[in-house]
Amino acid sequence: MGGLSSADAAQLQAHLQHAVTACSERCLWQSAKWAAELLNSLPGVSDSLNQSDTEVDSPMSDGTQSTPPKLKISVDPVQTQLEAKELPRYLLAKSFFDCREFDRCAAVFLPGSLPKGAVGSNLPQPNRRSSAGKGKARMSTPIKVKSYEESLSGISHKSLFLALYAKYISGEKRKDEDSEMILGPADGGVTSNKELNGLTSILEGILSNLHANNANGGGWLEYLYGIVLAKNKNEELAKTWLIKSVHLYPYNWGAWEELCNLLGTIEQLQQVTEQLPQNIMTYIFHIYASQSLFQVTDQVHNQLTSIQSIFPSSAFLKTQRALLFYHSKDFEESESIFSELLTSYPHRIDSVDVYSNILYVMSLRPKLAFLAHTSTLTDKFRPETCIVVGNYYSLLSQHEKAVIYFRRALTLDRTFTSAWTLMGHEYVEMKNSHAAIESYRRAVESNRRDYRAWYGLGQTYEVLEMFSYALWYYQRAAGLRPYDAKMWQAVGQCFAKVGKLGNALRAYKRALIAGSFNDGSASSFGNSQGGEFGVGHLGGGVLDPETLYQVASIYERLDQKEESAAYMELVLAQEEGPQADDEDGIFAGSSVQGVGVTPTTSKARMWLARYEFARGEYQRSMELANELCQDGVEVEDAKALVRDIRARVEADAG
Amino acid sequence: MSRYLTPSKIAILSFVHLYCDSVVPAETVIPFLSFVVSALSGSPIEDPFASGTEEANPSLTSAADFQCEAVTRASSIPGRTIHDLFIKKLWEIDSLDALHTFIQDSDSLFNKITEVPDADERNSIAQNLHHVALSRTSPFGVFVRRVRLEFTRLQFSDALKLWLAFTAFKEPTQAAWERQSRNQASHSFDRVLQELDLEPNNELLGIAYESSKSFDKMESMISANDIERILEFQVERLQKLGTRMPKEMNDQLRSMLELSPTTPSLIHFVRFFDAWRAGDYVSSFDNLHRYFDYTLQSQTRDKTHYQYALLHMAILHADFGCFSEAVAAMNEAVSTARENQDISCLNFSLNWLNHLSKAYPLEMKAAGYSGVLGSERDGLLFLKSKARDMKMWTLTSSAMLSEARLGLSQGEPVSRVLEHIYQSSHLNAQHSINSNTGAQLLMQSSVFARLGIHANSTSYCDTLLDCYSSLTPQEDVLRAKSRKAFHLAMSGRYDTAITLLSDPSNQFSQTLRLQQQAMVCTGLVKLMRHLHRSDSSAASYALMHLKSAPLADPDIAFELDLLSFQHALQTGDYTTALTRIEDIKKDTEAAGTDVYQSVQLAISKARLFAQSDFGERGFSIALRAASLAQKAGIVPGLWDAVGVICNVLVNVEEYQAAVGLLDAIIPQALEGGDFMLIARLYNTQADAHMGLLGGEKAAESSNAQKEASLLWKAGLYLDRAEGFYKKLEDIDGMEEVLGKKAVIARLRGDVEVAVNHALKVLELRS
Repeated sequence: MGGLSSADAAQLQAHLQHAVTACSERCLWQSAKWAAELLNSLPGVSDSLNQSDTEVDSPMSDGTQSTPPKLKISVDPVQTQLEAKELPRYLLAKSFFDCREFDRCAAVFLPGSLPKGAVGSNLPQPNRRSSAGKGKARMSTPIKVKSYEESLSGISHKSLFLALYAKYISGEKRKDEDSEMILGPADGGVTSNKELNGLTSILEGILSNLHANNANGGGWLEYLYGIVLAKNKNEELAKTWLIKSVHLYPYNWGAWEELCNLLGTIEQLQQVTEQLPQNIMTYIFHIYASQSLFQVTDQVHNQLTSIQSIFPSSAFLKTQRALLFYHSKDFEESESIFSELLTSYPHRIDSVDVYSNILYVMSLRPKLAFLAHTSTLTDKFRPETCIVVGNYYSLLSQHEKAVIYFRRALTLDRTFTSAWTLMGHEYVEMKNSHAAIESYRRAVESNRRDYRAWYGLGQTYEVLEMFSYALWYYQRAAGLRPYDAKMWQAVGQCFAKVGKLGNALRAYKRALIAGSFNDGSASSFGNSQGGEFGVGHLGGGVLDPETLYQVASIYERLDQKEESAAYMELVLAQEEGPQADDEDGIFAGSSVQGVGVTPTTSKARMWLARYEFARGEYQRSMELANELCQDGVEVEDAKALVRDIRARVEADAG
Repeated sequence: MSRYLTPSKIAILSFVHLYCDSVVPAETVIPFLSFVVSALSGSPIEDPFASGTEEANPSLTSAADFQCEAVTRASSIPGRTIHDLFIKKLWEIDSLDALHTFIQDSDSLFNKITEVPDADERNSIAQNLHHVALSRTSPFGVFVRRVRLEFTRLQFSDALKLWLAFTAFKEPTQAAWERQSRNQASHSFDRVLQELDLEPNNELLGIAYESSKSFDKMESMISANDIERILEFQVERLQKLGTRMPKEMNDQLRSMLELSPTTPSLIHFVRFFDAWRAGDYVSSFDNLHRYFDYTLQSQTRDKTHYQYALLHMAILHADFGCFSEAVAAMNEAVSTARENQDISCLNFSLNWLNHLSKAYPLEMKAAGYSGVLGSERDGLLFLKSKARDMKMWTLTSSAMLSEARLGLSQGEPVSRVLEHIYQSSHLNAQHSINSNTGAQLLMQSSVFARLGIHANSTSYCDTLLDCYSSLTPQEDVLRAKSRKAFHLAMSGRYDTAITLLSDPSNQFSQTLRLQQQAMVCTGLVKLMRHLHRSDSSAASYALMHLKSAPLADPDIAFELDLLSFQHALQTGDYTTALTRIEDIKKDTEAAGTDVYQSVQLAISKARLFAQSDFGERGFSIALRAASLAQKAGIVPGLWDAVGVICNVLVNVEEYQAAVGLLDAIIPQALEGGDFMLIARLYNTQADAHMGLLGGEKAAESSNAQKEASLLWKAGLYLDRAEGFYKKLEDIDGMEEVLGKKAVIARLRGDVEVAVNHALKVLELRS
C-alpha cells in the first residue's frame, strides 16, 4: 500500500467524511472522533476540504472501485424516504440522546417496553440471568415478538439503530449504577445489563428478516447485534456478525475495535483476517490487533510504516508505533514518540496512561509529574488522567493515594482494564492479597490478553504459597508473552517449588533463551516485585546470572554436580560479559559489559569454591576464595575456607 | 482554596531548611529565628511588636515579600546572603515532582533515634555535625510535621494548584535567581519544560502554565487556615475592644471569603458583632442565630454551646434596651449552664446580671428581675469566691472592682475601697489581664476625684488613654475621655473638652451606642458652657435635645438632671427647681441611692434655699450634706456643702464663723480643680469680709487700719473670684463680682474705678 493516487485519496477522504457524519448521527461519538482524526491526518486535507463537501452528496464521486456500501444504502430509496419522513422524530430522539435521556430517546421510536428473553429465539443464550423473577418476561411469546418487530417495520434503519442503541446504553448505565462501589458487594458479575436479552431477540428477528430478503441493516444494526452478542458472551456469533458489519460498512471503527476485543490469540486473528474484506480499514485493523496481541515483528512495523505514509500525522498510528516499541521493551523509543505526541497534541488524553506506564518503568518522576499536571489541567475526570496520577503516586510509594486514583478511574469507566491491573499491583504493595486477586481477576475478565494481570495473579498466589495455582497463571502469562524471560523465570520458579524439577529446568532454560532474544529482560512492572536484581540493566547477550544460578541449584538438587558446576561457572562468566568466553556461540559479536560482582555471582563463587574444595582441587578453590575476599563479600566464610584449605594442604604435604 | 498550605508556607519551610543547614551565622541566628517565627505566627513581619496595625498579615503573596533585614544579612557561605540561599532553595524546587520530594524530604530535618550506625551512617553523622536537627515537638518540628501531613492530605489537583501558585509566588525573584545562577533559560521554573525544549508559543505551555494565570492568584495564596486565623483575630478584637471592623478590612475579608468554597461559621459571629456595634439590631440577631445554627450543628450534637448563644443574645437584648427579653434569655442561660455544669459560663452570666441590675436598676426591676443571689454584697462575695475557686482571674478581678464600686456608692471608708482596687490590680498584673486594667484605672481615677485630688484623678485617666487605649474596651476609653472632658469643662476649657470628645480618630465613633454617648457628653459640656454664659435660650434648647437622647449611663443622666436643676435655678424659677430636685431624689431613691448622689442633691437643695432666702432651712440641709460627705469621704461635696453653710452664715451675719470655715477649706478646694466651687467660695469669703467690715464700722472702736485691711482683703478675694469666673466664662458670677467690686471702689472713694466696673458689667450684658 504505497502512495495513493489522487483519486483514491479523494475517495478515502469522502469515505471518512461520510463516516464521521454517519457515526455522529448514530451517536457513536468515539468512532466519529476516530474517523475525524484520521481524516485530518491525511496530507492536504484542509485545502481540498471545500471541494470535497460537494463530493459527498454527489453520486458522481463513486469511482471505478467497489462502491462503498454505505453509499449504496443512502441511495436506497426506501430508507431515504423513511428517513425524510421521520426527520422530526429522529431529531427529537437524537436530542434526547445528546441529553443523556436514553430511555426517552428509545421511546420515541420503540413502542412500549421491549419483549424480554424471547423464547422463540433459536439462538443459544448462555447467560439468561434476567428472565427470572420478572413479570414482563413471562408475558413475552414468539408471537408478541413477531408483532413487535412488525411494529418496527415502518422505521428507518438509522432511527432503529439509534433507538436500540439508546436502549442498550441505558441498560449499561443502569448496570453501572447498580454495581455501586468499586470492589463492593454488588460489583463484578452480580449485575448485568437487563436490556440485553430483549435487544438480542429483536435484533435477531429484524436481521434474519432483512438478510432473508437479501437486504441488510447497513452494517450498523449488525454492529449493534455484535456488541449485544459479545456482551452475552456469545462470542463466535458476535464475531460473525461483526465481520458482516465491517463488510457492509468498514469505516465504523467501533466495529473493528469490538472485533479486536474478541480475539484472544494470534491464530484467531489470522482466521478472522481471511474472512475480512480487502481495504485500508482491514489493514489498520490488522496492525491494531497485532499490537494488542503483542505481536512485535518487523512485518507489523513495516505495515505500520506503509500506512503512515498515507496518514503521516495520525496520532492514532503514532500511538500504535509507540505501543509496539513499548511491547518490545524499547522504552526510550516509545517515550520519545509519546513525548512528541504530547508536545504536538497537548490536549489529547487518549492513551496517556500507557505513556505514564512507560515513564513509570523508566522512573522519570519529574516528567511523570508533568504529564499528570497537564492531563489534570486538561480534564481531571478522565480515567486516563486518573491512571497517570495513580502511577505517579505509586512511584512516590504512596500506595493508598494511588489506589484512590485507580478507583476513581474505574468509577469513571469500569471497563478500563489497565486500571484494574494497576490497582492489583498497588494492593500487592499494600499486602492486601485478597483485593489484589480480585482486581487482577476483574482485569483478566475484561481483557484476557493482559499478561500483566495474569502474572500479577500468579505472583499473588505465590506470595500466598499456593504454588500450583500460581503456576497456572504464570503459564497463561508466559503463553501470552512467549519471549519474555520474566514469565518463564516465574514458571520455572513455581515448578521448582512444587517439585517438578525437570519442568523447572526447561522453563528456566526457556527464560535464558528468551532473555537473550530480547534486548535485556527489563521488567514490565517497574516496581521491583519478585526477585529480580537489576536485571533490567542488562545489555543484549548477557545471560541472567540469577536464572543461571537457579538452573545450577536445580541441577544440584538433581545431584548432577558437573552440570551444576558448569552453570555456576557460567554465572561467574557473566561478570565479565560474553566476549570473554563464548560457549554457546549465541552471543558472538556482542560487545556488552558484564554484570560485575553481584550477590548472585558471589554466591556462585562461594558454591564453586566449596565444590572444588570437596573435589580436592585446592588450588582452584583457594583462588576463588581469595577472589571472594577481594570482592569483600562473605569475607568471613571465605577466610574460613582459606584456612581450611591451608590446613588440608599442609596436612597433605605433611 | 487549600486548608493550610500556601506558597508562603513552603517558603517558610525552606527557611527552616536553611536554618537546619546551619548556613545562618551565629550572630544572625536570633533575628533570623524571630523573623521566621513571626512569619509563621502571622504577625506583621516588619515589626513584630507593632500592635497598632489593625490586621495581621498572614499571607505573604510573593517571594519578594520575604526580603527583610534579618534575611539580607550575610550567611556563613562566603559571598552569599541568606536571601540568596533562600532564592536558591526556592528555585531548586523546579518541578512538581521536586515539590513532592522537597516536602517528603523534610523528614530528614528531625533528629533520628538511630540504631547502631553502620559505616555509611557514621560518615554521614560526621558530615552532619553542623546540621541542626529538629525535635518533633519543637515549634519548627510541629510546623514541619503539619506541612507534611497537610501535603499528604492534598488531592493531586490541589497539589497541582499549590505548585502553580508556587511558580507565581517565586516569579518575582526570577531576576535575582538568574543573576545568581547565570542561567538564562526561558522556563527555568520547570525543569521538564526546559528538557522538552518547546518553542515559546507551544500549546502545551499554554495548557500547563498559561491557564494558571486565569486562576485567581489570591485563591491559592490564602488558605482556609489563614482565614480562620484572621477571623479569630477579628472576633477577639471585636469582643475585647468593642470596636467595629475597619472598612478596608471588611472589604478585604469579603473578597477572601468569596474565594473560599465553604464559609467558616466564625464569619457570622464577626458579622454579628459588627452589626451590633453598628446598632443594626435586626441583622445582628440574624447573624447571631446563623452563627449558632452553624456551630451547633457542625460541632458536637449536644447543647454545649447553647448557653453561650443565650448569653450573647441576652447581652444583645440588653444593649438595645430590651431588658425583659434580656433577663429571660439570661435566666435560661444560667439554668442551661447549671445543667451542663459549665461553671465559667454560669459565673459570667451571674456577674453580668449583677452588673446589669447595678447599671439599670429601674429597668431591671421593671423587667421582673429580682436578684438571684440575695443582697448585692452577698452576690458579689459569692461570685468572687466562685471565680477564685475556678481560677477565673478575670472574673475575680472584675468582681473585686464591682465590690469597690459598691463600697464607693455605699460610702464605705476609702481605705477599704482602695484595698479592693489594689487586689484587683494585683491580679491584673499577675495574670496579665489587660481587659480589666481600663476599668481599674477608671475606678482609681474616680476614687481620687472623690477625694478631691484632681491631679491624680486626671493622671489616671491619662494613663489609661496613653498606655492602654489599644487594650481596653472602647467603652472604658470613652468613659476616661468624658471624665477628662468634664474635668476640663470644670476649669473652663470647654473647647479642649469638646475636641477631645469629637476627635475623628476616636475609634468609638464607629460604634453607634458609644457614639451616642460621646454626643451626650459633648452636649453636657456645651450645656455647662451655656449655663455659665447665662445663655438661657441656648441652654434650654440643649437641655431639650439632651433629654430626648438615649441615656446609657446613669451617672451621666444624673449629671444632666443636676444641670437642668441648675438651669431652673439660674432662670430664677425656684418652684420648678424645687419640684425638679424632689423628682430627682425620688428617682435615685427608687434605684438605690449612691452617697455621692444624695450629697449632691442635698447641696443643691440647700443652695436653692440659700438663694431663695430660706437660708435657715438650707442651713440644716447643708449641714447634713456636709456630715454625710465627710463620712463618705466625698471631699469636693464636703467643701461645696461648707460653702453653702458659709453662704447661709453670711446671710445670718455670722461673718467670723464663715471666714474661719472658708479660710480652712479654700486651700484644699483649690486642689480640687472645680473652678466654680472656688469662685463661689472666694465670693462668699469676700462677702464675709465685707460683713466683718460692716460690723467693724458699726462697732464703736473703729480701727481704720483694720477696716482698710478688710476692704483690701475683700477686694482681693473678689479679684480671685473674678479670675475664676472669667475662666469659666460665667457671666452671672462676673456681674455679681464686678458689682461688689464697684461697691468697694466706691467705698474707697475711687469713683472712676467704680464707673469702670459698672461699664464692664454693661459690656458683659451686651
